[in-house]
Amino acid sequence: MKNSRLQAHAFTLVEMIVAGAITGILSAGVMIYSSSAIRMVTRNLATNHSHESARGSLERLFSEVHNSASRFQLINFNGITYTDVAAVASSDKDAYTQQYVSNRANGVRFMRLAAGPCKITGNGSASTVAATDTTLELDVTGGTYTPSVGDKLQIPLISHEFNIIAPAPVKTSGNKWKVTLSSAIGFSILTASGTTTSGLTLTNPISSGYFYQRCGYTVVNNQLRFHPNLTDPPYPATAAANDVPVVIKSNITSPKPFGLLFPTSTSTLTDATNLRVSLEAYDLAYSARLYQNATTTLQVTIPSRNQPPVVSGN
Amino acid sequence: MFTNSHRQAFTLIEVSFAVAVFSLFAVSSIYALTLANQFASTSRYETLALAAAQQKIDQIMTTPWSVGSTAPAVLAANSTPVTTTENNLPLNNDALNAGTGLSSAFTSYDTQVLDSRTTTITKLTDCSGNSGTSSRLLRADVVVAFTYRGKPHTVTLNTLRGTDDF
Repeated sequence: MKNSRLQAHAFTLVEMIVAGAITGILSAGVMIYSSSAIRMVTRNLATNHSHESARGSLERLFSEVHNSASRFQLINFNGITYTDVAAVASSDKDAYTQQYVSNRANGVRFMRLAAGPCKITGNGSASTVAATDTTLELDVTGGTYTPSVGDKLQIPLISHEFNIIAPAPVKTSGNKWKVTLSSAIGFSILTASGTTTSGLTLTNPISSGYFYQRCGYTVVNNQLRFHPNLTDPPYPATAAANDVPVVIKSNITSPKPFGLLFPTSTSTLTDATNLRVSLEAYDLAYSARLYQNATTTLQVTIPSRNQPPVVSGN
Repeated sequence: MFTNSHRQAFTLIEVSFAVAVFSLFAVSSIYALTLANQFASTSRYETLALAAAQQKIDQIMTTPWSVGSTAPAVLAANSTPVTTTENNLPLNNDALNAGTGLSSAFTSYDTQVLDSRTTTITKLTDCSGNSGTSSRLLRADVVVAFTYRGKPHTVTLNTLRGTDDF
């Protein structure tokens, strides 16, 4: 009798099989559910990453490209040096602007305001500026700007712009820099109280200039990079201290995202004041390639807000 | 004695109830995850739609418009609002990237969603009291609409624009 009672408390084989089958079915269901859930979350995160890359890139592009003071120039950048690319109209029609896209490039350069207004304090040797002077001294107090060869100086008073050429600008005192211009000023400028050549007496006159610096964006090694001071090619193998490229975003997979717009497919001229960007981003760290992650392609045309451009060259 | 031990097992109703609760939990979880995924996708597309609207606003804000000249086409409006609609614009895909040298290994992973963009230009009475075609002030409303998984979505931006000079 005692043995029989003990046997009655144990599970029978059939019970064990049924329980095992139920457990198996439930486990399989939970596994499939968990796997699907993890896959969905992972893909979503990966897509979010690529989207964030594209969106962040766009925000940065908007902030800089909008403020271009010149026309846009396409460039091909190989990581060390760059060459200008002549924009030619193609038959590719942009859906948003109904204009025709040029050949594409992996970089673009333009001029942007670097400092100004900066007071003209002399010609670098004296506190006067003669019409024949090819050097100027300006006070760049109020910023971190350092003039360099290749920059442009615009002087609104005489409606002229000048290229800054070698020798490299030198600091004369305080925040004053002496720069060498591509041509003579053409006008004498009063930097202190005095009388002009036309007999006009001025007290503490202030003449100022604006510095513009060449910068650019490139896409290299799946990175969108900003070059704060894109000097003339050949680009030095080691970037200058004031031109260390800044990586804006990674996971950018479009090889040539930049283009210019032409009114027709046979146009030979573009105003080059509208930059078309077609930026493709993909989360390259996403490993489950069997289940494809989505790319994000963001196409947008960014106009320069300075129309017509402030400075002529780019 | 055997009869008592049989009574300690679960009844059919108990088991059925447990299975129902588990199923409800499983279905709810899957639905919630699917919904979260859909919301995330929609949110991404809305951001892209915002970029499309911003592009038109940019065009409206930067097109040269002198007080001494006729308003350019993109700003054209009479005494009544002028509405322009552009259809079948690619929201998350650029077919032009399929060209040689322009695509990557991931270009085909893009899903195309089309949108339409409607721009309404309305002339307002400016500070000089001018209205209609002679007004130097306008309002622009840009609406980008798209359908994703059967549901319509819209993104709206608007701005005021005056002439470049006075």
